[in-house]
Amino acid sequence: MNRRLLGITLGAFFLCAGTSRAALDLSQDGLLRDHLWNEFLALPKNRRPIVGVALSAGSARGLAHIGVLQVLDDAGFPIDVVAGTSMGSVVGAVYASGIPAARAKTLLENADLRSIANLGTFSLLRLVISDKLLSSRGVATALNRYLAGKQFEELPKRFACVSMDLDSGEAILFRQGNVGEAVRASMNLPGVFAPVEYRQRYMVDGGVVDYIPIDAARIMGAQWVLASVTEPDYTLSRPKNVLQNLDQVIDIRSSLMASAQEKRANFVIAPGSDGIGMFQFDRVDEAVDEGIITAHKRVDAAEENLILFALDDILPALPATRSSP
Amino acid sequence: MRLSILLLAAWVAAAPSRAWWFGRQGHDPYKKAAAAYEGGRYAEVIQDLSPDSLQLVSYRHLDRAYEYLADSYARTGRVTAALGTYQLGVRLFPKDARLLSEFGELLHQAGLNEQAKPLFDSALALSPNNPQANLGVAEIDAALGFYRRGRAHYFKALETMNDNPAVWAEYAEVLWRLKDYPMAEDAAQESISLSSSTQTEVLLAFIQRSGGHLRQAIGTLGRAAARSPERTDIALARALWMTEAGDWNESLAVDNAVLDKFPQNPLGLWIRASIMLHKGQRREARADLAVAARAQEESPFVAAVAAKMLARLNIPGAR
Repeated sequence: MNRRLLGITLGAFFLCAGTSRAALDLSQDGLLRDHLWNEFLALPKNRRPIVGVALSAGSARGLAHIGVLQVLDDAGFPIDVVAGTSMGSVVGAVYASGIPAARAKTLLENADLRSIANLGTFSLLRLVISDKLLSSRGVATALNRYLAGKQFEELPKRFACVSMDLDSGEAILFRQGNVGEAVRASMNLPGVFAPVEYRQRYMVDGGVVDYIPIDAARIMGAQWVLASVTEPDYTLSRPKNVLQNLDQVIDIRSSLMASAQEKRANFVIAPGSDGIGMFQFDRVDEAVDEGIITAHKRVDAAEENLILFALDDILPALPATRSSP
Repeated sequence: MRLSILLLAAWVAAAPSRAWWFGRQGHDPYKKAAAAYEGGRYAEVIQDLSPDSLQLVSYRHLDRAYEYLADSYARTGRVTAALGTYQLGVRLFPKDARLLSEFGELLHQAGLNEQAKPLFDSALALSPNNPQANLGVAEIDAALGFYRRGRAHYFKALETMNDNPAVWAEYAEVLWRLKDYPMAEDAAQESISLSSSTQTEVLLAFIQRSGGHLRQAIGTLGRAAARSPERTDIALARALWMTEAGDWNESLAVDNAVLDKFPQNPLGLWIRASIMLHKGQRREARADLAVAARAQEESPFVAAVAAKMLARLNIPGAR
């Protein structure tokens, strides 16, 4: 089939047809973005804003963060700070340890996340029947294996994760000590996992109080923060059992919190959840793909946002109004 | 509509038995239609394979008859008929990789990638080396941002389509996006050696620039500009890259040539303003930025950058 000729015929026929190729953007906006992005990337680290990413909670849906990070990596975003809550903290810890996003995907695909998180069918059945909360120890063990037992201070990128103190309801920001233990506390889903005791406090999943850790990224020094948000669409689900009801309540609360929090980010990328349930860890591929597709559509706009934020640094001939760090 | 398709499907599904029965009395129209298709006489194919004639085609040729008929419809602009014919074809021959990939291609060219992808995947499951299906999947993957997957499928498609400059150029772009600049440059050069085009020259220039060869890239862009002097976008890219190389006067000359023809061009004005700023001529820069900042509809990003620069220049103390 003569593809080009046919393309012209069809292009005329289908008004909805868009370009299907990753074509060069030679529009005026595209050319200027490309030029200024190159200038931005050429700036020394101490002459540009500190760039942070905040990775939201979202259980299995949160694996979409890997796809988002992969697109940001490919575009060259110089990510200095990573903050994560719950599943965002798992992905964030792996990424902050220097493992590229594309490799992190393979690593998490090969890991049996359901069993690491102790969320296999048998465990869930035991939870419902015995009314005894599960242990999340496997998360810390697995992460310490992947990250060679690293402490926060040893990670190549600045990293923090958020948990909640079950007694006070405070959000607790972890940025020191053993990464695996902190991430375990951050993704310690209440009602499923027993609280983790840490320095005389009982910790549960940070998603309850800080769904998108934008403030955490700013505390870590980030001046421009991109939030990757895997917000659940609870309107689609019809809970049928105890766990699904719990899932639904958490989703509603998370969604309301996410809507309020994302306004504090400089830029938001929100991969659709596409019906991926909280515990569907076998859908890693779908979640990551969704992250890639959504981020790919938004990455030009993200670059433009960061360029405008950093314009004083990019164009030194301008009188500066914001001092660089 | 759905009912009529089902009825037509049922009618066509009974084709083999009718063909067998009628085939003994009349003649199979397939050979004539195939000859017309090979000769590019698509209207003739449609006539030869009319719904009645299609019933006379023997079963062993029916798959290709559907393919030729659907493709002839597509080539003569009757896309609805082409879609319907392919739909029936793949329903009758769900294991025919050629039909699946041709149908996928039609949908893909129409931008209906979500519908095209499963057809290509089915074709590849039946025939992993099918070049059209590999190319289709590669293009869809690249468009969605799956460059790594896209690269593998382009590579496979090029095993057969290595004389196709467009495929080499698409492959080069995917490699460029994956930051594999030497391989991307080789692929772009291969495309140009098969058939040079302005667009591939521009792509090559982008690859060279990303690979750190800015001067070479500006030269390549210069050749593309000479070849297509009407292309304002190439001239503006060249002017921008010249500022990156520090060739401010050369950039101004190229940019002024664009502004002579299009005095309100927002990017042209922005480039001139940034050159003026570099030379310390803020008054001139302000004037150009003020016009560029008003182009929110034509180029919202250029306008936003210009507006922000203008605001900085207008703060007290700025000269």
